[in-house]
Amino acid sequence: MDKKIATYIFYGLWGVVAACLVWLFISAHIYALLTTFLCVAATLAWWGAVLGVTPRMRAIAMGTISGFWTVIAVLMFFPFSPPDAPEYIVGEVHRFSEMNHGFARAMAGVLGPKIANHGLVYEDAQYNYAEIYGMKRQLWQNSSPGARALFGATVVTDMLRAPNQIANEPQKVLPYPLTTFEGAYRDHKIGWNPGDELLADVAKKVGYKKARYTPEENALMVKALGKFFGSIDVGICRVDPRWFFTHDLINAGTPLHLEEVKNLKYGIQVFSEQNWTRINNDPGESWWSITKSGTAYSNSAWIAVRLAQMLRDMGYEARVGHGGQDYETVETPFSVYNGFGEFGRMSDAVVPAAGGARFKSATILTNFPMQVDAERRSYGVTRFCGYCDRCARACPVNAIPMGGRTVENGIEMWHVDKDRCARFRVGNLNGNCCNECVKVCPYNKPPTLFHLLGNYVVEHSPIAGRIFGSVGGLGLEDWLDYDNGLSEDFGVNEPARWILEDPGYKNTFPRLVGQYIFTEADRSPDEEWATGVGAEMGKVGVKYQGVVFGEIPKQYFDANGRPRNVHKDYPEGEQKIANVENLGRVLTQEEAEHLLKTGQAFTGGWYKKDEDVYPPRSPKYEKGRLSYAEASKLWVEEE
Amino acid sequence: MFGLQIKKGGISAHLGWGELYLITVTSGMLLFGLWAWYDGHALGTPQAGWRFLLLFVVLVTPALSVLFFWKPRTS
Repeated sequence: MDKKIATYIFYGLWGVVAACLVWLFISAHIYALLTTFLCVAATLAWWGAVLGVTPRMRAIAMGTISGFWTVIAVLMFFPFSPPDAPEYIVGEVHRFSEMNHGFARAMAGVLGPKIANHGLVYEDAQYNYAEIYGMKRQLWQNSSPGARALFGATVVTDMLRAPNQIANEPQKVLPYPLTTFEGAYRDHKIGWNPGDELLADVAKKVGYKKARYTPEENALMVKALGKFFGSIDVGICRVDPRWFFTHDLINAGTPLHLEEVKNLKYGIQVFSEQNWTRINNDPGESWWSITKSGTAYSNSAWIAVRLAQMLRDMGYEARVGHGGQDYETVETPFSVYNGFGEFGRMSDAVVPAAGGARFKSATILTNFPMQVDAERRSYGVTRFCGYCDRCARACPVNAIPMGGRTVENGIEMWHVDKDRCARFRVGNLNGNCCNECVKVCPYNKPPTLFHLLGNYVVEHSPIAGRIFGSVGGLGLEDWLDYDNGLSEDFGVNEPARWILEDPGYKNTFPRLVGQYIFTEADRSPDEEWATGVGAEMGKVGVKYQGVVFGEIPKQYFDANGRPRNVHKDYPEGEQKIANVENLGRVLTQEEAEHLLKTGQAFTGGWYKKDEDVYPPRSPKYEKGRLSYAEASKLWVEEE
Repeated sequence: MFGLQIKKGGISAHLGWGELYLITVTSGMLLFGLWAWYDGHALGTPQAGWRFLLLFVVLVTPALSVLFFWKPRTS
């Protein structure tokens, strides 16, 4: 070949490399990165094979490439210090009302009558389990035999959570067979066993065989027993009293007074995981989806009620909080402040040691004196989530925020739009849950050596977040597509559709549900969206940086572009939803104030003014900025 | 000078330290890709396994170009 032409081609190839680099920096697209490397390789091959090189040039090229990868390897694998454990509390934190979490709002009618009566859309001869089982209302948890079996199990374990009621929970108390029922109420404590023998591995750690019941030894025993009973790991921390709900959900608003729980100083958290194969293969919008969380909830519940009963039988107080709705506390802070996890983009704690976002936990609140886990350290989760928005992009209803962390209730983290999330999960016409955010989270892979190394790299490396993350582009994780499992096309999501409220719907407040009054401050900001305004329905049908979020077939829309209640498994076509009444009773302002001021009804919500909360907030814990360390220390000292 | 001299039968090769270093780096990356491929299949995510392997194959192509095409001419 003519040398001049060869040289022009050579310059042209470098031009292509330069163009690839521009493409890479503009798009942050994984294809740009791969194309850049291929173009560099082609250019080098042309250079060497056609134009020729000298020995010195060859040595320099080899040294440069080897050096480049050596630097990258050091940046990736050297044990750089992880970032500081994030300080999430930046302002005044108020206790949370259980009546205000997403599912509670959906069930209590705050989000509208259609979603509160969501079970009605499933009422046909084949699917009307509400009628078959004599339930007044169908819940999304019991829409399939598997889901009923799993969540049904937690109904049974609910009775074993505690020997006494706080805020009327547990609703029924079941004596635990074979144990000494008086437990915490007898006048003396008994030990682990008649010989006070420690578990052998604990004995080895402490250096003696017979128990002395020191806090350190107690913690080691509880951790060993928790794992022995089936927990992936066991976390122990002091309780921050702001984690207790102000009002209980199951009993529709019963207040939970801190005075009643002041003996509960420590939290023991046990972990189970939602099965990887199911998460990885079954679409989040399938009828199997709720069984994933149902399995993990019932597994962790069973571990916790047994461990708690053991502590009670030894003579200590122990109360269990477990899923689905049988908690007395917000669960996620336990995972963060026992040092096992960090808050991620989807608002939940991500616990790398327990399947990332796949875990479900149950918590034992106790006065059994234990040494709490070592001071929190960072796993780099919050830092990584700043670079990764896969969950936000995957969310069918835009409930997970993109961008940076924001402050709500004095806590700086990513806050999901819980009303959108819950409405979609409860009223999904294609299935009965979602799980999309969990499915795509890079932390959810099983703990093989390869992925443990991945967790290490993300924790320590200053560049791993940029490499694996995907904010503003299509990242490596997107391309690798670990959420594409063996089921391939059978595991692809259906278009996102959910039960909508009637056009123009606006809820009416104040509304009394049970003993709880929802006020104007509880109004959902998504009411207009819930009626079908914003017909793109989240991101479905939208193409974003190469990711297509699916299209909704035309037959699923009516003439006005609103989704019809066409159930994919329902052969008769659109299912009509009756003109359902909303739950509760609408009050006048005067009636509401009278009920609240006379103690006949209650209301809460962290966003309300102090004077609008009944019973009143704690001046000790809910005024001013109080760190976790300060609040939990004050709580331990509480007599 | 540090290097590797192989002389056996009709085969004769001399690898300098630079070549050895680059071959080690390249082999290491390909082995890492193989590990990722195996792990992907073990987890039931074969597509991720194949793509991870492909990623490392692509990343080492510049090194392969230098190793195979950058042969200095004697003249």
